[in-house]
Amino acid sequence: MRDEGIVGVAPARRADDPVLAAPTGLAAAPAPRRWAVARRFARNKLAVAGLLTIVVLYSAALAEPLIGRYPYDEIGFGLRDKPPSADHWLGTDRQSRDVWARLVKGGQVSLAAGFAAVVIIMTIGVTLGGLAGFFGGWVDALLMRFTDILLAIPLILLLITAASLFQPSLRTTIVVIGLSSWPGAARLVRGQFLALKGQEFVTAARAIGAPPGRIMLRHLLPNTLAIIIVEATLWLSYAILLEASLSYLGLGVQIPTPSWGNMLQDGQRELLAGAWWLTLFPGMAIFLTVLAFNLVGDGLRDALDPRHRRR
Amino acid sequence: MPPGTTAYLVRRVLLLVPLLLGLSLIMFGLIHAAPGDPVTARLGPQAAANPEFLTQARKNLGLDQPLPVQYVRWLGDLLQGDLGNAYTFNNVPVLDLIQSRFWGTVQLQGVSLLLGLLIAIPVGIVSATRQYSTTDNLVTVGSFIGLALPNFWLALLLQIWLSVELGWLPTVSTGQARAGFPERLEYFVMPVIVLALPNIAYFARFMRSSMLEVIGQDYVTVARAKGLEPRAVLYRHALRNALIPMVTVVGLQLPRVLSGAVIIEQIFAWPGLGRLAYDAIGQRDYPVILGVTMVTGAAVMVVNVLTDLAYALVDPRVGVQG
Repeated sequence: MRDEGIVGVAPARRADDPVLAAPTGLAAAPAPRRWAVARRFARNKLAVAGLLTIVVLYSAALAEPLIGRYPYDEIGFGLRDKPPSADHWLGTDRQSRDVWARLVKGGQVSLAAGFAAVVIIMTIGVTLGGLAGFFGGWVDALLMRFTDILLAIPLILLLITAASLFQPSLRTTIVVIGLSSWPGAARLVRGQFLALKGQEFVTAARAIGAPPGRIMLRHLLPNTLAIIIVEATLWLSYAILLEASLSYLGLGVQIPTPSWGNMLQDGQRELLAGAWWLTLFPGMAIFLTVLAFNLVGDGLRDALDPRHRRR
Repeated sequence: MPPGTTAYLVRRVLLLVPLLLGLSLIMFGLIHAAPGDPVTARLGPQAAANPEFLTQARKNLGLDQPLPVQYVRWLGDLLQGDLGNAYTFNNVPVLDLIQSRFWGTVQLQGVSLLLGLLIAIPVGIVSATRQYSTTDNLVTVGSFIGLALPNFWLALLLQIWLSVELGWLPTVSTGQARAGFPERLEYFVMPVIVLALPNIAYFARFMRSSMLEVIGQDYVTVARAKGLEPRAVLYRHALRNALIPMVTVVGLQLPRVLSGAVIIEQIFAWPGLGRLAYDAIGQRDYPVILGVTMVTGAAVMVVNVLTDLAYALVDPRVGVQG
């Protein structure tokens, strides 16, 4: 759900979210052949376009020293708020810094922040959700009630409250997003483990004496992996939106380190003076990134589950 | 009503008590763990120069007591329907503050939700009945775009374009309370566009897949085969069942309606709950933060129960267990 309502629909904020949650019952089907999945994905033009965009974005972030053209933090003189030109492709900001250089550097920061936050979300979500789904009983009840509580707090409020605990910085932004956003993923994985553990192959594994850890890691987890990958892709787009929102509010990544969110905050002051390029370009970058991840996530889901194809 | 509904309802409502207790404990812990307190947040650095004054100010607010004592006091007041007085906002009772802001958020989000449904349902139907047509492809691409647009960015662009450049609409909603009826609507235009857009994209996408699912079922084929008019098949047989899952989707969006879009209310200076909470967190106004979280949290939990119940009522195949 685009909760949060700040921006966008968070993937599986509740695991039963019908649009963006990964398909259920997928794991029950025989594991699709890898090449068949790739072929189905390749047929989806939108998804391929999304994947290409992501490759370009990450390449640009990695090649930042090569393509930045100017140091992102070099404060110039007499070039305040200059519109886009041949020298400064995307113009300059109120401290005469080159917007293109800051956009590329900011992309590095935003993409890395999103990725790191998703690693935290999925690690906590898969571990807790998996344990709860497998063991059931009070472990499960405890986790479910805890997620009930966390999911009842509007995500952005939880983030702002948690962010106020620390000095704002790139690292705390990642940690705050990671620690606040895992409940949806946990419930999704829990549901899958719960559905799978009653199936015959698990009973068979138990019968030959496989210990619980082995059953979870070798039997349940591989069968849930497809869903986890789709979920992670959708969370990548959402985590980038959350980082941008927090930084826009001044609670995330701090200047002089640029991120797409704090560039928007910084540029907003110059908006009344007509410096539209300070607002337009960082926002476009966020939009393209989120769009690309959503397209890929959607394409992956369809490719992994032929029953859901092209709905 | 399906059998067992009353027992189910009682169980779900009783469960709300421990959930709300847990919610209050988590939020209480979080806000007190944050560095700084209401006194330093309000008085700033110069207060530190006068420790005697600081101690007295904390004592007046009851902040000199141990945390468990503070929590039990707060909880005791809550059980008597008293959320305390705000530290800032002229010390008005938190409940009054929430009441006045609640309405602002509900109006704004309610209009955005309704508009979203009114546009999305027909769009979804058209898209599903002409699957893979140009219209359908446009709707698919359009909803992906609608879901990916960062709405605070869109809000900034609309502000600069519609208010600053063209001067058509007021930039922020500070004059809203004093405006008469038709003029008041002007303040709604930009926030509603921004908030309705993701709703439209999301609902349309969902309506389309729900409709496709139903159209593919046997009873629709039967209705067609017996020679029923296509329109009748579509609207009398398919649409009704396709709308059922929308109950859940709208239910899932309602928490958002109640919690307020913090950033959007901030940008348009909208007098709603989201902005209240944001200001309160910055001011370390503990009673207001706790009050808003408890009210929105309770509302979200109640809506979750109602959504599950509504789903069981409109779709007799769904039982009420769990």
